[in-house]
Amino acid sequence: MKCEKIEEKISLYMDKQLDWKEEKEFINHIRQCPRCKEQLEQAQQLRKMLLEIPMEEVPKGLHENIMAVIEKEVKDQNKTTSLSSKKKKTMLWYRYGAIAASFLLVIAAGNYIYKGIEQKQAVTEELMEKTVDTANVQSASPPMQVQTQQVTAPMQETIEQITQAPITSKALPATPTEVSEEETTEEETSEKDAAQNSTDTTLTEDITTENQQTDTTEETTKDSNTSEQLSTEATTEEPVLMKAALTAEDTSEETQEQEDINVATVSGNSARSIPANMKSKSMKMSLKTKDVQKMAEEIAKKAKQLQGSVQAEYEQNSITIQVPYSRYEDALNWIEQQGETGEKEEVTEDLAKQYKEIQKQAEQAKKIEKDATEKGQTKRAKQAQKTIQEYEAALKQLENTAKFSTIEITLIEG
Amino acid sequence: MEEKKGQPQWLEKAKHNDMSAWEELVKENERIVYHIAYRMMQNEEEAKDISQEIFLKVYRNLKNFDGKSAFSTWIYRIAVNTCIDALRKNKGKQTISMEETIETGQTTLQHQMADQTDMPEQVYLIKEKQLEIAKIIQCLSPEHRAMILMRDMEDMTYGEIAESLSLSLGTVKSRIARAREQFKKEFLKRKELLQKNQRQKSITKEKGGDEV
Repeated sequence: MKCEKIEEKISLYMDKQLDWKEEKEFINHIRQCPRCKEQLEQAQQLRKMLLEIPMEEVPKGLHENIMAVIEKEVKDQNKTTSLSSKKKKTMLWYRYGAIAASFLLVIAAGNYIYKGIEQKQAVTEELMEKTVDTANVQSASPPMQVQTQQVTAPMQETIEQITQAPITSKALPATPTEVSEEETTEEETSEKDAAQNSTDTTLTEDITTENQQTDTTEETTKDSNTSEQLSTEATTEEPVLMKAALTAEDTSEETQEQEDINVATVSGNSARSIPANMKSKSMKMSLKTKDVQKMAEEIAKKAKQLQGSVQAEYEQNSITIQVPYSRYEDALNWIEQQGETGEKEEVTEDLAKQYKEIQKQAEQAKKIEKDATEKGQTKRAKQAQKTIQEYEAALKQLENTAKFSTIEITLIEG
Repeated sequence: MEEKKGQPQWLEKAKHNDMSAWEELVKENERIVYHIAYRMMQNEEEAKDISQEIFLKVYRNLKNFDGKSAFSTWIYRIAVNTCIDALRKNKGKQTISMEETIETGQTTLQHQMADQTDMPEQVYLIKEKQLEIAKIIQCLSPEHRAMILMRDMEDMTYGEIAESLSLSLGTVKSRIARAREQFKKEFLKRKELLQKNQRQKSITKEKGGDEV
């Protein structure tokens, strides 16, 4: 036996970790080699010295400090749980509020319109009594116009009171068909204003687009109606649809428009505010383990358990997992418990700014799309649609990036 | 369920945030936790902070403790890993302060010694030895510190160390050997430095004597 690797042999010998053959060889060598013998003695002395060090006294106040830290953590945790449930409750209230608002709106609008119909019927009956000539019915339109305007004005007030709910076409389906074409323009402007007032809210937009869709379908079912009927009916619709109805002679154009609107509805519904968390976290770390393959499986299992997934399967000593942002710390703590971890490289990126920017652009694209649809510029609208969809996809991707944190673990056998 | 047989009584209650159970958990484990923290960090203030951090980690992870190992092994692992992480984090900081410590000899222990001039000689010698050991330990890497702590100070078996740190027996063997080798190297360096200082002191004394 040579003096090579003697330090390791000494260490193992002291701890009785050599097998009998190795031990025999070692003892023989020590007997012959005074240098190694001295080293062994030194090592034994050092161990003795270290073992003799008495245990330190726990400093006063440490217990209280530890308990205070834990109590604070318990409180914080309770706070966050109650906060998150509060948040949920508030969200629910918003939702219920929105539903209630739309119901109120329908009822309110229905009431006014019903009154309107009654009054109009009264006028018509009066006129019919006076003359049989249909031309006279047409001449009766000015007073009717005044009435309808009165109807829309208080309705708008109610709507504003209910908070931002728009004038929906759903609220106006019962309008009589006798309304003259002159009124159309009048009503169009007032409705346009109302629509403009309410475009800021996502919620409002959702409702509007939803209603647009329903009405478009309703309208297409009325194919048997004459063009005159179509044009008069259009007065009850949103301006966008009105245009579509007015140019109803071109059926291909109409279906095109309808398609556009349907797409708009999809994107309109997915319009969102900035999510609470837009921070993306990624971590690179190494982990020493006895059985690398088994550990990789354990990690994959843990990722799934934490509602995450394996982003890159175990290959070349490395596995990458994705876990929900909220479970990131849990995942890290768990990994740390699995063995000795190496240097960690953590990158946190705030995506909120990026998200806002894209959202802004998406909103602009939506405005263009709306404008184009209103003006009947199908191509432009379609193009805007495409852009909106792209932006929406980018937003979704960003949301996903923030929703999940990535952890890349290099497994080292040891 | 069998695995949970030997687990402490307060464990389940503590998992459900029962504060009296936590009181017991902390009471039973604070000594060993502080002990690990102090020996790893070699500094009272840091040891206190790290002890709190360790218990916070215990709190946050208690629900994940599956009872497959003894609670004491589990807490030991958290404690050692937390210390290793902390040491790695202030690696740069540590080197500077360590050099300063070696030069000026300013450590908590030394302050204590300076305060207690009426200390019996034997106690003084033990304290002085402790101070020297502390300085040597400060020169070791976090991993080597952990090995010296567990094997030579705590006298844990290879199997216990392997389980606590999730290492293979082979790794534990070679790592302990390397840690000891490193410790010895630093010890000899320190010894040489002290001897050199003493020689210098005696030389100045001799010179001073001649002058008088």
